[in-house]
Amino acid sequence: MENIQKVDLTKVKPYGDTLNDGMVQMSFTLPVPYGDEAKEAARQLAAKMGFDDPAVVYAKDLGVGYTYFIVYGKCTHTVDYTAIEVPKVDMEFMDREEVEQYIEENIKRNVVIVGACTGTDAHTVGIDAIMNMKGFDGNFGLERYKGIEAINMGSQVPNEELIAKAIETKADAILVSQVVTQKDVHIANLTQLVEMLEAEGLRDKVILVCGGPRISHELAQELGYDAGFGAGSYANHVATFVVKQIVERNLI
Amino acid sequence: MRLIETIKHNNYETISIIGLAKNAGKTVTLNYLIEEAFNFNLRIGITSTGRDGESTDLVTQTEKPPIFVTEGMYVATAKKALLLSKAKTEILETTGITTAMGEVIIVRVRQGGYIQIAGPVSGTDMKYVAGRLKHYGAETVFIDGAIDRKAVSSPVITDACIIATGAVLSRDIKKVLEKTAHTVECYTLKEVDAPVKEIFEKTDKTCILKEDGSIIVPNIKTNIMGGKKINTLIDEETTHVFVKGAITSSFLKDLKDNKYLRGIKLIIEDGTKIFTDINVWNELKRKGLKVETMNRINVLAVTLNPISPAGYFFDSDTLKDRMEKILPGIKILDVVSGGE
Repeated sequence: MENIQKVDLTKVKPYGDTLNDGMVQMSFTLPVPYGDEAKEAARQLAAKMGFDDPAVVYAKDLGVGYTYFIVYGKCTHTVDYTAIEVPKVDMEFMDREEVEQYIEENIKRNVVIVGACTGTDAHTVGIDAIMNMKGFDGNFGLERYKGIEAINMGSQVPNEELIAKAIETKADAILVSQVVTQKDVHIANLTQLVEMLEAEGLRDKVILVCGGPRISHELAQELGYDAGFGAGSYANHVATFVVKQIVERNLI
Repeated sequence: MRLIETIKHNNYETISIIGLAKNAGKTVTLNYLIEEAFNFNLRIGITSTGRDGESTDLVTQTEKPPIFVTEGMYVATAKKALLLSKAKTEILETTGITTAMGEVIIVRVRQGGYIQIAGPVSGTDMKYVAGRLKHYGAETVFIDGAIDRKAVSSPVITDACIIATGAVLSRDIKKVLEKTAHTVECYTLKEVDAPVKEIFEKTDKTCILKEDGSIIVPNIKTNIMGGKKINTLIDEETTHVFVKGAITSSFLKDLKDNKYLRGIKLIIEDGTKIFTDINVWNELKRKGLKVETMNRINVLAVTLNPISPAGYFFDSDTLKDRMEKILPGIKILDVVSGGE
């Protein structure tokens, strides 16, 4: 038997049928009518993207002069996987019982957490996974935690209303979820919340956490949040961060 | 006078660089000032409310300008950002302020090189850190804003500010001019007369002042949603309405149909508290509302980036000329095409 080729993590490229063949499948739509010219346009565009041997394997007329394509091409670039460093919330996460016990021993009162999907975003999957009783993927949400009063305001909540609610309920932490937005509007939305909290003199008094598939802990720094939780985060991660911060920042 | 000379001449201790959008050219402006400070022997400290000096932008994945610091400069940056830096530094203090990138550390540059900066995220912490940089010997501290965050330019935190704007705001040059002018207008509103200022400094709460000097403090938890209540309290004897905190579009809309609008002055803390949409703001002004401020913000310059990462650009001279026309008396600098 032939020797199995080893993966070189310093030069990683896409895998199709064989290691390092660089094969990529992409799909896109062009605003041109279906036909041979359209396919050639898609092929040329993929070539301009830097793909070797681009091939249009599927094209469909979308009507109204638009065509949808699936194109294969070979990626010529590599990344050094070993040099990648992604900052994450760096702490040992407690589970639900440990968080509950921590609150009882160290905070000795209910922790109030207000959460919402702000701005134009109507996708509540993220905030629901963290806050709702039933939770997500076998991890109960914050509503289930003893010692945490979780208020989920739902979707498309304006920043003003979220802040007003936080003031009304004397919230310890504000959670904001942004799942699907266009043209980076989630960024402007997230920074506006920080700015309004600063204007209201509340920024130091609350723990501000953002989350969503396009949010990283590193981005949270840039946005002015205390932490950012990306995909694969559960309620106990957020809860651990919040309760520890309450104690660390002396917000008891 | 060159911008750096103005800064030196007036002994400004803390200066914020804020952007009206991402990619408006804040870091290019900061780099320009670092170079000028070096040439004019001004010992500076730098920090950022976001992240600076990393090679690719976290949001747009576009290339970001690196930051080169020289020997003798002071920098406040987070631990993880410092570990990614090439400059050799001496640690002066660990502040205990935590950020997403680790604890904020204050260093002196021993050997020049590229550096990554991630400073405190909140205004209060930023004020403290700027104070520490001065304590160690920085004559002027520059604070680079993040994305479109402006809170750091409040006079409570910094003495003066530089506003970075550019093509990235809109494909329509008129919109770029309009948005920039709106921010400068909000920042440089007329300051309220001293006796009235004193009254509001004392109450330190959203309140309504009447002709006879009496004060009504409305029973609201926040003015963000309290516009309706305030609206009902304004009458013919009202002279000033002081709003502590954020002024939002919905707040102004609540006042829109008040028949005493012409007779009152709305007093805000400072320009960073205004979050209204330009149209709502202009409508209220057309209806006769006068807005004054407790603290005017010192706008030292407006810097321009005529290029947008979205792939379009304006002619540098045209943008500069039109900006100068719309903002008379304010220094306009195109830092991308060459500075002063």
